[in-house]
Formats: sequence, structure tokens, C-alpha cells
Amino acid sequence: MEHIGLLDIHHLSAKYPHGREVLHDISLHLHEGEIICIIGESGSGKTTLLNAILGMPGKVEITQGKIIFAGKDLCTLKGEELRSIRGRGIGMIYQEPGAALNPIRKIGSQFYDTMRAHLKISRKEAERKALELLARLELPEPERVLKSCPVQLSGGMNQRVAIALAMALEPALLLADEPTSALDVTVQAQIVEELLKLRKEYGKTLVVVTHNMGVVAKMADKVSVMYGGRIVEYGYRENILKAPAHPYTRALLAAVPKLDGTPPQAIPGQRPSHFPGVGCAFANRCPYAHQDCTSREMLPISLGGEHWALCDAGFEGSVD
Amino acid sequence: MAGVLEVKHVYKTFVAGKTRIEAVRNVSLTIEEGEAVGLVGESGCGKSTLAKLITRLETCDSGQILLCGEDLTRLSGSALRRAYRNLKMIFQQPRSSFDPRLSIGASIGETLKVAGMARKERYGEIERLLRMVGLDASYAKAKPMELSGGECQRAAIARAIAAKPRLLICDECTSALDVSVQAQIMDLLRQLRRHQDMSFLFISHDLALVSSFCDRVYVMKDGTIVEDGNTLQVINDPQHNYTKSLLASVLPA
Repeated sequence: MEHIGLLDIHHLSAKYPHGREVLHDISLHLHEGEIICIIGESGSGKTTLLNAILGMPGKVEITQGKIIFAGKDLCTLKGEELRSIRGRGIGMIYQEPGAALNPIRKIGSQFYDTMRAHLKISRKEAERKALELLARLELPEPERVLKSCPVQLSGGMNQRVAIALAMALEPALLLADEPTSALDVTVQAQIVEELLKLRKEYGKTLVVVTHNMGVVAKMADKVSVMYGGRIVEYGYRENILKAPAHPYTRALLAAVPKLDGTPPQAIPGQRPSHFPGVGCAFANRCPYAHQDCTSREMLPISLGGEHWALCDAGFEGSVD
Repeated sequence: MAGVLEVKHVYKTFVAGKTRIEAVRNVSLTIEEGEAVGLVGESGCGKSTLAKLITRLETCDSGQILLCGEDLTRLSGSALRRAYRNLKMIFQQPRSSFDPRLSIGASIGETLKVAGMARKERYGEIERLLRMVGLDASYAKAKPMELSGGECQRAAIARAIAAKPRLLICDECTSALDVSVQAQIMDLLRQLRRHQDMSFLFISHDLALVSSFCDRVYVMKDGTIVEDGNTLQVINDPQHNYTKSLLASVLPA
């Protein structure tokens, strides 16, 4: 039970403020230098999980469980303590590169603002550090970038600036919410390379929320598949991509378009707007469902090593 | 043989102050009856400008655009409007293409009214169209904001096919959707292709998606077509360096 990694989430449940439950019994364990990808459709709770880790007030209310980051339970921290962890301990990269940046303030000033909020630092020092980061991420013409405003840069450039900005305070853990979805395919590949470089050169730990299987194949060590506010399957990349067990994981993989011209397979039915407390949330769309799927309690089934799923109806054997 | 759409040597240059951007340079393409044709390239390559030229949201500097044999660049007024009944377009953000205060049924009804359908017949037709795209007839009363992205795109497709167009332009119509919803929309488009007499211009940056839907593909870079041909042929044996780099950057799944 007691994992001591960089980030340990134990049996976390959460609800929207004044609303329904959105996360149910989530457990995750991340060691330093690992990359975990969280996949699933919109509405499955991926982004809410990131918001819970960051302790965003007004977005999510934790009802049960613990989030242990570097030995501290984030759920019990308040005010100043929590603020010092956001940014310095945990950095965040958003889907829309614009979301983290002021569109009409010079990038250099924004680096200074961010660093000044947490460190005693002079403007010169801050810009020198920003320059170094941008150069390290191999942005062309870093001096010009620092003097530009986000509106003068392309989406891809802004996303790389946002990554550099999240890195400015050297957080041990980086959360990335769909970091490539708003970008072109060629730029997507660059961003993935850059995130991989963060791990290689700085030993960063990453939690990447994505629905792009290409991103998973390229960078994940571990993958957790979310549906209806639960983790329905968890394992190493090969486990999930090569030997998926949960019917939802299989359906999700089949929905990805391939280059050979085979049409993507749609998952029949609609995502329910309300997820049941008991039983399997995927049961109404599942080709393997029996009658008791909607009533029995879903418990993790071990599939060898760290690979487990809440249901193994689609499992055809392990890869190793 | 006359195709549904023939674009012949089209040019478009934008001028902003001292900078001139040649967004579309000498582009020619054809779409035959019943064909689905892909147009790929990264953002800024001119593919959306080309779509705007075809739909006359922009006018071209020179060249011809023939829709069902009629030169759109020369028509105006009611003749242009009549010609445009043969062409409909669906967009990346379906919600922004609907009037937020009109119900879905009213939006579709407007298209039917313009097409000259009597009020009495419209109700039945709206329900038929909604069912055709896989939505319940009760969605006619819903406002765009009440629908999910996928449902809203279905409604946009229902509205587009209401006028029985000969050509449907899909501009990144699944990019804003989840993979599983994307697969549902692609299923729907494939169904329409089988049962309706309609051609498609499918604009996308996702070569894998294009390969599953289009017979032929045009690859666009910096305002010109750099390669075209049978989709699988282009993917398996790309000739132009740009196509190769585009394929190389598709992340393996």
C-alpha cells in the first residue's frame, strides 16, 4: 500500500462543487523520472484529476483519499503552502498555449513575473535564465522570442514558450493537459520530442493527459485508461497498446485512424451523462456485457506485473 | 468529362501593408461525381483559403472555379445563390456555425425554406434528417449549447444535407472531437456517401483519417499542390519530400 514515489494518489474520490461525483477511487503511483499518460474520452475525468492534483479551488472538491506529493498530503495544505507547491513543485502545461500566457505582454516580462512570484530574483537574472531555457528547448531566435508578445508568435511557438515557462521554476513534476491537441501534426511531433527531452535532460516526472494514441506510443512509460471517473485499466505502455484487457481500452484503440486506410471503428452508443456508483459505466456500450455487469462491484483484476483492469473480458493473453 | 467541382489555375494573394502573402498559387483540382477527395497540409498552407475561395467567402484574383459546370467566379446575385445550393460546408467548430438562439430544428428548417419547401412538409423532413444522422427527433427542439460536440456536428451535417447538395466540403470537421466520436462521425459520412448522391472535399491534417475515407488526395504546401494521386498510393509511395515529412511526423499508434 505504502508506495513512496514522487506522487502517490490513494483512493481519491472527488466531486464538482455542489455537483455529482466525478472521480471515483483513483490510485496512481509515480516515481521520479517516469512518464504516465492518462487516456480516455472527454468527460471521463482526466482534466478533473489534474485539477485535483493542483488543488484548484472552485473546480473540484475532494471527498475521500489522499494525494501525497514529495511526502506532503496536498489535500490538507492551504493558502501559502499550497501556492508554493503550485509552480515550484508542480508545473502545468495547458491544451491552449494561450491559456497560460498574457497575449499582449512580452514573453520576457512574463518569465520575470512568474519567477518573481516564487523566487528572489532580479529582472536581468530572470531573463538570462529564460534565455537559457528557450535555447535548451532549441527555439529559434530566443532573444527575439523574449521581446515578442504571444500574439506575434505561432501556436506551436507559444506552446513551447508555455513549456519553458512551466519549467522556469524547476518543478519536480509537470502536468500536461492535452499539450499537442491544438497543434499541427508536424508541430505535435516537435512538442513530444521536447517533453521527452525534459525527462532526459532534467529528469522531470510527467503526467500527460491525451487522447492521441501516437503520443502514448511515443512517450509513455505507464498508461492509465479512464472512463466514467474511474481508472478502468492500468499498466505499462506495451500492456495497454499490445494486450489491452478492458473492453473500453480495446474499443478506444480501435477508434484510432490508421494509415493503411482501414476505417476507424466507432464505439456504439453514447457516453452516459451520469455514471453509476455501482457496476460498470461502460456496460451499456460493451459487446461483452452480461446481466450482472451493471450491479456487481468492479474490482481490479491483476493481469501480471503492474498490469490490471476492472474487467478482463477483452484480454487475450499477456505480451511477455 | 465534367466533374462536380473543377478548380482551374486559381490564384489568391493577400496584401497587408507592405507584406504580400500568396496564399493560393496556381491551384487546380477536380472532384468527380461520387468521389471523396482529401486535401492535406499543415496550417497556413492555404487549404482553408482554398475552401473559402470555393465557397466565395473570398474572391479569387484569377482562375476559374466550376461547380457542376457553372463558373462561380462569374456569377453574382440570385444566379450565384442558385448555384450554391449544390454546395454545403461543415466546419471544425459545429457550435459556432449555428445561431445560438435558434433551435436545431429551426436552423435546419431555414435551409429547407430557402430550398423552397412548404412549411407543412418541413416538420416531417426535419425529423427524417435528424434520424438519418443518428439523432432522436426530439433534438429538433434543443439549442446548440445543449448538445455535445459530436451531436452538434451531426446536426450540422443534417442541416448541410437538407438542401441535397452535390458537394459537401468538410473543413477539419472532426479535429475538435474525441477519437471515438470522430469514428462515429466518419461512420456517418461513409453512410451518406453510400446512400446519397454526393461528392466530398475532405480537408484535414490527419493523413490516417484521410486514408480511411478518400479515394484521392491532394497535398498542399505554401499555397501550391505539391503532390496528388490515389490516397493509398500517395501514403505508401510518397514522391514529394514534403509528403514524406508529413508522413514521418504521424505519430505511430
